Amino acid sequence: MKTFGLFLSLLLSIKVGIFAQEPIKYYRVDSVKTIKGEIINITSEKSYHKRNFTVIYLKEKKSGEIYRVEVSPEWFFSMDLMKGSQIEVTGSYCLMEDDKHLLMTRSITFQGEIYQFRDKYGFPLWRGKGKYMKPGDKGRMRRRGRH
Amino acid sequence: MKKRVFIFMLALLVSGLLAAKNFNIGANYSGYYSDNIFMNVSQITDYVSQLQADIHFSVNKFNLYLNASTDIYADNPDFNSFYIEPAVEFFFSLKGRNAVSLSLSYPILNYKELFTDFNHSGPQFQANVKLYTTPQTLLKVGYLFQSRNYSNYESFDFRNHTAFLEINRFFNTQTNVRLQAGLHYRYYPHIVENFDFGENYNYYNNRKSHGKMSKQSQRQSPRYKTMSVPNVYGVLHISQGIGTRLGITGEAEFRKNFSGLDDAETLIKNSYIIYPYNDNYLWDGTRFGLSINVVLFKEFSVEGLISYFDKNYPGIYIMDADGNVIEPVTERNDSLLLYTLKISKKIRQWDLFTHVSYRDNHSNDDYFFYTLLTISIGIGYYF
Repeated sequence: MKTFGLFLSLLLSIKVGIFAQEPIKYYRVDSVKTIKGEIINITSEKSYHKRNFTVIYLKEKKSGEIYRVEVSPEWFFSMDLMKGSQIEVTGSYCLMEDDKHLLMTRSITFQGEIYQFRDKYGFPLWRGKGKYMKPGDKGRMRRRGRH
Repeated sequence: MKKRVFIFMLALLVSGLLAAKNFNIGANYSGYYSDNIFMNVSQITDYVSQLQADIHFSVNKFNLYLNASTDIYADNPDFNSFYIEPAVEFFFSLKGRNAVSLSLSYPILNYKELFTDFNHSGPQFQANVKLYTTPQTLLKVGYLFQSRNYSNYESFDFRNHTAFLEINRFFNTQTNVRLQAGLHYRYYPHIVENFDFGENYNYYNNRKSHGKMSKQSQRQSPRYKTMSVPNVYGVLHISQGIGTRLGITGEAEFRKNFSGLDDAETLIKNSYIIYPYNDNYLWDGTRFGLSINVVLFKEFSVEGLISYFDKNYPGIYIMDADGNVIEPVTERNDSLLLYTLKISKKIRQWDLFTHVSYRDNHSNDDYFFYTLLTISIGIGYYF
């Protein structure tokens, strides 16, 4: 019995450890906001089941605050954004436990074009939606080479 | 046998996708009115409905999709077609944001009775590498292979190779400068040399009821030759952002063909009907483009584009109304002005768009002296 209790507590500590590493984040439609700013860094980071995710660090124009902008799995991100680009990001905002600002991206506007990553309800477009919905197509239907 | 294996593989792919938990289906309808569907002097108008469905499934680094669509012509049903494309894509992350992507697909296009000579299928392979050499400099290298087999008219069979190198540099002034240089290489493996021309299959001669080519005539003349069309190109692209909601882009392209379609009459005369849609490897010259993108209130996206092309067609000579080469022999030369306006908007799961485009093509070949107005509307729904 004592061994079983020890095993259970060990198992629980592992589980708690896992959650502590990566807190669960939810896209909330009631916390959607738009931030304008300049990209100070773009990286590829392991996130969400250890998938490579494109993450932008954005300096807000008004406040100078730094936002961590989680965009999409890397394979879905086809924009050639670089450091110094001015962009507008719309997404679900939350303040993390360490007081860092997080934005889960719905769309990015850059040089007069809108690139969609989630629908209005926060459903990720990379979970299906067809190839023609990839960013870069800007949501337009692609007419393939037919002739 | 080959067809059965293909159908079996297709059925396996579809059933696999349907059995999977996170597959998605998209469907959309788009329709466009065109006052010149064949892009030549015929000025035949029509309304075309395009229905498209897409099944998509992703697992780890692989994406599988199946795209199917059909084009339905209201007044020219002979040009109706059905298209299907199964494909698999692979994405591999390297250090930093660097990545390699590969894709393999097998598009199939089938026309109705009159145009079945243009039915084609064949594999397509694409490989791309992205390397960020500095936080503001991107280097891209890519390769595309495309093989098309025309089962009813093998002279059209071709293999395309495209390779390119691109340098993309971003400046803090919100200016993006991109320079791309590449090589197109089209190879025709077996063009029939002595084709028996007749009234009933000459697309060039017969403008309204485009006749079908005689397979018999190909069998009577089984002498083949090969031909290649190598083409080098360079594109300079400069875009300037003004704030986040306005972008202005200028583009210039230069192309040079090292050889043309000399002495390939079987190809030229009878494929004129498709050249306007598929002449990417056959012209050299220059292209200039200027576009403006704006995001307006309520996320309406507007794009205006003006392009100018000066195209030479090496090896393709101007002809009279009967399809005979005019003396002295002169290569075809076109200058094209293209105006396009696109407006799009997303409303929840719905995707709405409208395009208006106008082409004004001047050519020293009267057959290609034309204008074209296209008005399209589209609606899509994503499940």
